[in-house]
Amino acid sequence: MTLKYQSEIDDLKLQNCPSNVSPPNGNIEAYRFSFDPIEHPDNFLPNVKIDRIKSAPFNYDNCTPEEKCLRCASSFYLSEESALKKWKKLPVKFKENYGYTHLAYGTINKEDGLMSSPEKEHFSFYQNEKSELEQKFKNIRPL
Amino acid sequence: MLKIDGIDIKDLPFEELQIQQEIVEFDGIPVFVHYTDKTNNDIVSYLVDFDANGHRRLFGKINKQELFDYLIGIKSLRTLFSEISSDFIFFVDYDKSENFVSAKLSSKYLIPEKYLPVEESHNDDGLSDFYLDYLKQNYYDYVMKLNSFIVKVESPDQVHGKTVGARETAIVLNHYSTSVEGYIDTKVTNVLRGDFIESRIKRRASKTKNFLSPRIADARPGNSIELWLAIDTPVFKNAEADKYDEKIKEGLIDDYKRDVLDVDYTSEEDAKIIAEKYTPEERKKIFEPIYRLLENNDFKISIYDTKNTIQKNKQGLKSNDKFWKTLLPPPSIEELQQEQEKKHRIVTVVLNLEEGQNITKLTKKSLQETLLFTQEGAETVYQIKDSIIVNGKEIVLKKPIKCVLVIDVNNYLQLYNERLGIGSDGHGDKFNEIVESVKTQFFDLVENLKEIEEKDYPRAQEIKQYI
Repeated sequence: MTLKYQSEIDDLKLQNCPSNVSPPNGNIEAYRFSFDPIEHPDNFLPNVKIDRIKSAPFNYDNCTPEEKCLRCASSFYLSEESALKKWKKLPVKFKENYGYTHLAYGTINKEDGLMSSPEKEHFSFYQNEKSELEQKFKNIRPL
Repeated sequence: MLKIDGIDIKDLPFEELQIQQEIVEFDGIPVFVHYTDKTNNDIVSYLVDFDANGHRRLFGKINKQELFDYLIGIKSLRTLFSEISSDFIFFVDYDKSENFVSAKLSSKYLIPEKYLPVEESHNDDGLSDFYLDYLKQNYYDYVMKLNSFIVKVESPDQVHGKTVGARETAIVLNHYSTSVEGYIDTKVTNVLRGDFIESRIKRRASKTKNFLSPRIADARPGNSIELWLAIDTPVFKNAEADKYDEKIKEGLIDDYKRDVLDVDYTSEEDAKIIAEKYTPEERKKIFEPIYRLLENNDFKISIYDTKNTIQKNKQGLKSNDKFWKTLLPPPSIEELQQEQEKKHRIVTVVLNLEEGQNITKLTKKSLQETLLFTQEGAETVYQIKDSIIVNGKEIVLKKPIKCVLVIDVNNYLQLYNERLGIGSDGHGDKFNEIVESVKTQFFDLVENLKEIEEKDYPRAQEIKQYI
């Protein structure tokens, strides 16, 4: 199945990307920082696009292909608690620069894409072309 | 990016920064990073701002305790920076390719509020294997403190303000150490009983007591003094390093807190529970030191701990006679006799006195000066000086005759000079007779010197040295 953001992978000239990923096993409950409303065009974008829109300081000139490949995925958390704990460790200005206003919750399954192995309750998700996460997620609380 | 206050500097004052760990990242971007510099200082940086031109990091030097306190969740990330111990912090701007653009020297008081996280920014990931090793001394100190029991000693009066006497504090420390050692002795004996012979159990109990005797994990003086006493079970290992070590140290500190410290010393019920659990001998080892402390009116004591497992004595130790009579019944006549017997055997005092000196008129000072030893069994040199008078005849000695004086645990004496071949023995209360016998033997040697010279020339030469 084609990935929604395959063009980003191609633009970064990445081989074997994504790697070490698999479709979700069943329905996975997932959380993500979001904009309001949930249909906001910047919601569920991969990091590479967010970096561009928000001028996030990821150094593409000094990273491995694996790290670049991960930029082509979107970040999710397995619990509300782990997402909020991460959010609280960020400087206020840093958070303002990103501009996320809400925490969104939904479930994803194998039809939606490929996920990496979770690490500290965080995982990267490569959306399939036909995946429409804005229809499966809703904003559950403001940040 | 926000305008910041500070002095422009050419570069960071830290040389050769090496990344140790990226502690906080956000979507793959390192936010909070730990480095060390050329001289092994610990430096942290925090990604505080960014825009289309680049990003800004806040740098600061921290000590290992600050880093540790953050990592174990005592200190929030906000506090780590807003209350950083170093005098200066630095803001460094980088371009999009992470090239250095500019730096400012500033202070923690000038960090914009928006460059800090919220107060609930504590780390909850615990210590990684890397930091368990990197901060092992801090971790050790932390574990020791966490497992401590805290003895607060206060002065009962205001004669010296609210300060506490060093001597009184030492007494408290000594008695609690003795109680803990008694508890360890009891536990080791109970763990090993049945599997080892008695002498081996005693040896191991002694070694274990020695190693696990309380350590002072912290001491906080003020109007009173708080002494944090810990038992170093984390690194405890006997030479045998067997399964018994685990059993000995398992729950040791918590059990001591529960069985000995969290006890109402006025409650007969508590006394009965303890009396059922421990034999009279064990109770004496564990509880008598605490009884002695409670008898002493030179200080007030409170006991508590950080885990709140000690509840009953937080406001000060109280006791009554009923409790202690149940716990430490008076010894029987037989036990008293045994104890006295033991003391008779132990206290053997040997003094080096001038002949004819009246022992009853000795001052304390001269007793101390003439004291040779007070051990159970030992030997020393006893000198026969000046002259020997036997049957009205006097032999003036050129030099003292050095004899060996041996005393065993039963106060049995031996006094002899091997080279001269003279000597005598007997019970300690016959000491004067023993000395006189040795003198008489020497007198006889002198009287028979010619005969000795013919039969045993070297011995005769030895005798001649003295006359």
